[in-house]
Amino acid sequence: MARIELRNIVKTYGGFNAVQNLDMTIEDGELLVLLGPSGCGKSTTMNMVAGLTDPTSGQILFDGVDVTQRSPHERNIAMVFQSSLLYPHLSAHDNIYMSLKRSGLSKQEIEARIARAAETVDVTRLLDKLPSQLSGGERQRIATAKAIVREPAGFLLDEPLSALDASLRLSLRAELVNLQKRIRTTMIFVTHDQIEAMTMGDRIGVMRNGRLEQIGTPTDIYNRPATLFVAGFVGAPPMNFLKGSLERADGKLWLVNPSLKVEITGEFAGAAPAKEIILGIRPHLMRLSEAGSSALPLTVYAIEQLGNEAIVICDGPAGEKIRVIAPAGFTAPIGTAVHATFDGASARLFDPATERVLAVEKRA
Amino acid sequence: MIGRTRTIWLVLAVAVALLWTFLPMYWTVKYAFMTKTEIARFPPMLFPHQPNLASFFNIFGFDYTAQDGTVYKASGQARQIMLGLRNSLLVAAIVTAITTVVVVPLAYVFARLEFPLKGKLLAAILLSVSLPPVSTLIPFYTLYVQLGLTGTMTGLIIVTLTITIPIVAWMLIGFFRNLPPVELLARVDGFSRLYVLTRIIVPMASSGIMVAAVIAFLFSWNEYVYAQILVTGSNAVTLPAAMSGFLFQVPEPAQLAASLLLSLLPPFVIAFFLQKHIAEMNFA
Repeated sequence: MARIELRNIVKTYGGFNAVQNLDMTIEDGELLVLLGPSGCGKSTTMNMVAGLTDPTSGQILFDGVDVTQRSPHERNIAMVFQSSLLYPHLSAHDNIYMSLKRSGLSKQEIEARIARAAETVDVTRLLDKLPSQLSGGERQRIATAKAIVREPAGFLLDEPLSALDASLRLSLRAELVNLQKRIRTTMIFVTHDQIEAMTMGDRIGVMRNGRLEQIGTPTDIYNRPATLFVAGFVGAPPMNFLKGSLERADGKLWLVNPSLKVEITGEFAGAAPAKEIILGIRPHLMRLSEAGSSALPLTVYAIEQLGNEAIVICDGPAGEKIRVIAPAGFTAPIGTAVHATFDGASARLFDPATERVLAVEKRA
Repeated sequence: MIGRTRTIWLVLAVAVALLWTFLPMYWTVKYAFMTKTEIARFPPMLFPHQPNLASFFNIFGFDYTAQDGTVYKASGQARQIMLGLRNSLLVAAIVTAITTVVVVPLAYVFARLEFPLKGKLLAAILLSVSLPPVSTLIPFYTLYVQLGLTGTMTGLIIVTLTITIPIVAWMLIGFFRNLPPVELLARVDGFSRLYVLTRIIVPMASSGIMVAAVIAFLFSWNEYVYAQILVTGSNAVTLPAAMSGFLFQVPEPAQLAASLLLSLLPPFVIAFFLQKHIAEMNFA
């Protein structure tokens, strides 16, 4: 169990920048999820924390000690790889044993630890089996037991659930979070699945193109995305985006585009007028309404019934897809003209040039 | 209906394939149990009417007296055949051992590590697989004459290794590539590269390595072109070269067939015991 610190980490492969100037701290006992599309540098980052990949420059500290030059084994990290990789020719017991073979512990101590780890993840009855005789979920548990048996400084997981079917993922997700809280270990979990990230992480670090876009709690990431990318990547159904300009009139701030004029209140009320702006609004913060100057004219494209609500997918006036949450059972023929409104206080404004959230001067 | 016609075609196709491979073999087996006069008869007999073991006795250097009192004399090739059998086994065993020891680390390095010029070196290995043996025969021969390696088992082993090592390496590289990336696990567990190769990769790939060894054995066992030129007539003669002696003497088809059968025996035995491992091999 350790506090893991990354200081100005850079990794380049040839001319390609896999990770750029990354600063990040993972607190002791925290579960941090690294989220991003494939190729964003999240696995490279994890491999550098593990010691499997050397950073081009920068430092990695465990509890304040520089471990940048140390091997994975010396760092005492444990790792679960994609598809819960195990030694295929060894039994579950021997797979777990390999974690401690180089530990210098006595035979009895090792066996006791294996028994305890197997108990913790409930795999005692599977210890004699070969990986090929185990189901995906069982392999995952054995890989977890192999990791925790070392009592590691950091527990790293690289998309361990991605090869499993949906219902199994759901239960293993909860199991892993429960385990992490029980043994209070520092855990880094890499995934490209934003729902997995939202449900598991104490904090989420969203990465793109080798950069950390935003790091924060799931609620923070969801409600206050710092960049256009984070806004579009996190949340299902995804956030809606509208283009327009910001204009000040009658002492109020308005988002204006050819089909809409909405007053912006709340957080962004103090923003400076701008020619081009992108407004982001979550589907469940929009509702279908009567026509009006502050209502967005839409055409129904498809309706997804979720049981407790319905997602109405519409074509917007500028050709973009706009999703609006409607009450369960809402139906309308495809092509129907509808309107939707939203509260200007709950929208987020982004600068299309920097793709970052609009800077607003804090009012005293 | 469609299912039935498909089955019929399948059975037919398998029958043709079996006939194609087994008919020539059956013809050889049949000859081995017949006498010279029976073989010469026209139309040919489809099976030996009075099967006898005369040619097997003859090729091992024994006379054979048939029930009707006819004596079949020991073959003049007997000494060569016996010598060839011994040498073939010896050469094949040594070649198999050296090939395996050389190729396992070689294939591992090419399959699992990155290093400069890897692509070019790999191409060089594959190129030597595609060379027809005849093309290097004359250079080898002149070289061997100067080094005094003609007619020696050492010389034959060296030449055979130039065939087996590239082809077995090529096979094993493919096999090693498909193994899961356990090096990652091993690094986290704190094992050295050497430990990974000898204690993790080798046991994991045991069936692939076994099949690779068998391929090396068979290539060596079947090698004829070099043996014919380099060791025929010497004390280092191998079985294929010794058998070819039958072609240049008074025709003894029954004895030739019997020695052919003898040469088929070891591959058959090996294939039989390794069926399971061969099925496990996955070169995809």
